[in-house]
Amino acid sequence: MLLNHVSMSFRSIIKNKLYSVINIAGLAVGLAVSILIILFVSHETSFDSTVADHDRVYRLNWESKSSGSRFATFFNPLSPVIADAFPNDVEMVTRITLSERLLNIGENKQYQTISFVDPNFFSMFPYEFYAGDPATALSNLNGAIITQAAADVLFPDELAIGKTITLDGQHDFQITAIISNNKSNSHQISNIFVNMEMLPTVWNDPDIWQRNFSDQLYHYIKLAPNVSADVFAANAHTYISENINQEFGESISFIAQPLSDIHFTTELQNEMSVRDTVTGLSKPARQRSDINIFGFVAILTLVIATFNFINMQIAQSSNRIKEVGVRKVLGANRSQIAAQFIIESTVMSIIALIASLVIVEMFAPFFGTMLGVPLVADQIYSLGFISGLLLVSILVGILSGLYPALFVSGILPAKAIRSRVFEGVGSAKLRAGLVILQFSIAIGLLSATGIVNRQIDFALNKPLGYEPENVITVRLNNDEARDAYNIMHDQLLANPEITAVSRGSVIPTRDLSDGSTYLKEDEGPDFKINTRRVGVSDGYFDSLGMQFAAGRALSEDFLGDVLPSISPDNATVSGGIVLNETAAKQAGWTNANDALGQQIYSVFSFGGTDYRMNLNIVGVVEDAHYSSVRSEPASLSFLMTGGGNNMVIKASDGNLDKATQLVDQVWQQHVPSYPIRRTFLEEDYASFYAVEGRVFRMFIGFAGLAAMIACIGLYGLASFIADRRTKEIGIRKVLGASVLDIVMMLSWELSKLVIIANIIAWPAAWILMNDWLTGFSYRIEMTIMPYLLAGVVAFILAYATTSIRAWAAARINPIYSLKNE
Amino acid sequence: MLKLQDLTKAYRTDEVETVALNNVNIEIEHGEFVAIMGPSGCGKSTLLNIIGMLDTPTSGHYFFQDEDVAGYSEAQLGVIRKQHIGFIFQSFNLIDELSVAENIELALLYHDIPASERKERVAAVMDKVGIAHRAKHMPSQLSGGQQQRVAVARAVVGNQSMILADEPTGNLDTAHGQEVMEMLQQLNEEGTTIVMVTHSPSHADYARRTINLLDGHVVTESMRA
Repeated sequence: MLLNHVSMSFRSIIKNKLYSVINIAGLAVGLAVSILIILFVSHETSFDSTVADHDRVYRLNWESKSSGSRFATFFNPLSPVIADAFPNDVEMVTRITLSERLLNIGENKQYQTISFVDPNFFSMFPYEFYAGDPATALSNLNGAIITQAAADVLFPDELAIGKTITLDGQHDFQITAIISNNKSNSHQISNIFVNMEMLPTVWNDPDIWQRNFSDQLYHYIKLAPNVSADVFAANAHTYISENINQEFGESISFIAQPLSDIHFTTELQNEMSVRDTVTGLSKPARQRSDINIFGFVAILTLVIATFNFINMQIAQSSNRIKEVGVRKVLGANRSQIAAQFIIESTVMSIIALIASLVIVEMFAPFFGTMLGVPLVADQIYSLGFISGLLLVSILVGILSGLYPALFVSGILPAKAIRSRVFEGVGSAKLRAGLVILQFSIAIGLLSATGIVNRQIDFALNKPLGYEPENVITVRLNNDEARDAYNIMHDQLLANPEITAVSRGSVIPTRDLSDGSTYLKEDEGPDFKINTRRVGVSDGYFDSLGMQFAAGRALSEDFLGDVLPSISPDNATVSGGIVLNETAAKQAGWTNANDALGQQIYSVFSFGGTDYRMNLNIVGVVEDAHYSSVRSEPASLSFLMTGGGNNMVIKASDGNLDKATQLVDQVWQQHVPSYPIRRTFLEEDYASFYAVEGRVFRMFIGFAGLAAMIACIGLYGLASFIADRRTKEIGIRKVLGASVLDIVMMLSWELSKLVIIANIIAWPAAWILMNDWLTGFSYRIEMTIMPYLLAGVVAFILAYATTSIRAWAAARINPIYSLKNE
Repeated sequence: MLKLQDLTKAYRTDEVETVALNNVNIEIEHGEFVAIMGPSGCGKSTLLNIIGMLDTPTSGHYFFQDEDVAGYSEAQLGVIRKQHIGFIFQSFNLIDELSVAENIELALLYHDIPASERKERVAAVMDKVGIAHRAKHMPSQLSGGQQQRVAVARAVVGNQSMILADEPTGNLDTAHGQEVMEMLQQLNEEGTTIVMVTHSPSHADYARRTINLLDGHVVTESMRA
């Protein structure tokens, strides 16, 4: 009997080709979109979950109590100290730090990120060893472990193991092991690992383990089961304060950051780079709310597609009353008819599931590229995922078969055979309700789309506070380059193509440096101005096109501007300072002009010496977005230290190419030992936002698809209504209604459902989007426009869809519809 | 009022051509009451549909008030139809979701008549056919005879000069059938042209002229004395 039902289902599906294709396609696309989004969401939420006992692994952060800034790094030597002090709480501690070095392989020179790790790093993080022994690979201090990807890049077509790489032209390391690549859902991006004990040598920093409060490393700690991370962090902090440094300890706090939070924390200072430079894969941290929105869209799309499917199935069943009547006359009982409907829609939904898997297979790589995430459809083919999908489709099948099964099967055979269409109990209301819900969701998604789009445009196009156009940046990443800065500066500026050359410790799109706290001369020690400090040279503001709200830029023309380097012999220094608007406001000068000429100072103690910097405010510069436009512009202070590892070159309009050539030539001439590391600020800026922009464009595409699926359901409902009202349409036409009158009447009847849907969708979308927008410091003001637009778009779509069906119904000559029964 | 000249209607399917009306010549004067009779499949309904401009002839001429409408488009026919012709069907064809008054008013909706005037005319016509006390009822609450009276009211509320009735008494018992025929007769006496298809010779007797059709031909025309 079951087999008979199934084979009948296939026949019925084939018989109603157009309808079946529309209905299966709608559900298949809906399912495919949901699966693709779920793949993306599960990829993002699975970050670092392959680490063994990942729920017990934490990264140590510290937070400055004065500025509130939180740092992803922790103090170089302190985690082993903590581990020794709490042997029962700590199972393992491991550290890593990344630094870009010049790498020589034979004659070949290239910059690569080298990671210095404790050897037990590979016990904590799950790398697979393809060659070499995990236990001994780094026991020789000159051993290096590289990933397969690095091996392919560094030693193409050669066996990498045993080969030598040279760092900075002087430190030789031998490849002792090849390991698996970083997983796409791991926050780790390192490809070349050497022993942490080489750090003092390679960095030429013998004191690195003596500086208790220097934070250059990332520290991972695995706690014993049932140890509370918060309690542990507090205990560790107390221990460090009491045993290492009371005063410093009091100005900071410790935080144990769960491993699974790293990918979702966007506001940490000193955060590890998210770009794997060897594979080119970028793994930007996400806002949890963004991921939630995507998950929400997946669910809503599935809901729309399901409603749609149910709606179409009911519509179809109403056309099969006669068939039901005949079956009943021939002896079918009610449950057999019901089973027939349920099995038929289940067969259809399973076909849709199979079709959706094909769609996912086809589009996963494309979606992956768009989202900047390697999406693999393979994830689907796990027992859990497949059975989940199967369950959903069977459920959808049963649900959509249930209504016709319950009502159509109960109809009296005599009535069934006579009637052309079924006017079921509440059928029209149920279906109208489904359409309203479907469209509420579609309109909600469309208006959210409009808001997302406007916000992203707004964020990307808002004034940055600096001009990235025609700016070349060069890293002064070695002493040779730093020593040659002055001569390069003069030589470059001699060319008319170059309008400004300067140097700074920080430039936009790169991480901000440590904080500096200043006090006001006329206030007590409790009034603090917390800023991030940027060391600059003459011309810094010019070359970045930063505008002044008051006063002037720091300049060598003013002797008092230059800040001498501070040292135990010269413990009190004075110089000029520029604040940005945010910093000036923080200090209480709401009018930038009020800050000019004010004196502020900063004091700190180190190694028994009290240091003091006296600073004269010479200018207030407009706020500039150094980091993401999502966050508030940081409070910044600029000091003329003359140092900094970034050279900033501004070319005149149209001369960027020429200027670039000049920069390369001058570098070649003065820094022959090192290849140049040069970028264009405009490109850095664009790549900073590219992923974010793309992810949201994708969101827009998904929402559009959902709206389209909703229209399929509306077409189904229009068909149903047109069939049901065939007679009425005939009467109206006989009474003088034109085709247009009929089309307008039918379309309006459905379109008014869309208007009701608007009333439901708007407040819901408003609340959700308002919540999403709070994640942006620079956000658009919410207006009614996106909602109106979404409503109008949905209305037009709905009107057009129903008009197509209504047109066909209205064209029927009434002599056919009014024929005597 | 109307004149059919050499009118032919043929239906073509893939293989067979069926001639429903063959060289029909009929003239109907203003104010006439004409009955069309004949066995099933003789072309009665086709003839009525063509006269009612719901269908178009394959060849020949159809002069309606001296205008040859045979070649008119559907839209053009629709305009003439709604001004001049009212329909009454065997199965009433009232809209189940609308009340009696609304069903009648429907015929005025497509005539650009202001709402107040529509209400007046609907009330007047309901009085005339004796259905005013049922104005707020739904069709399903009425007897067949009452439903057909509503249909008659709907057919004339727009001041149509001609009523086409397709077996108006076919679904009614004798008493109700009689009632409806008397109403049609009264309308005819007030000047409305009536063309009625019927199987019932006694109802055909209400008409002054009877046209008998067979296989698409007019076989006899008889005038009541």
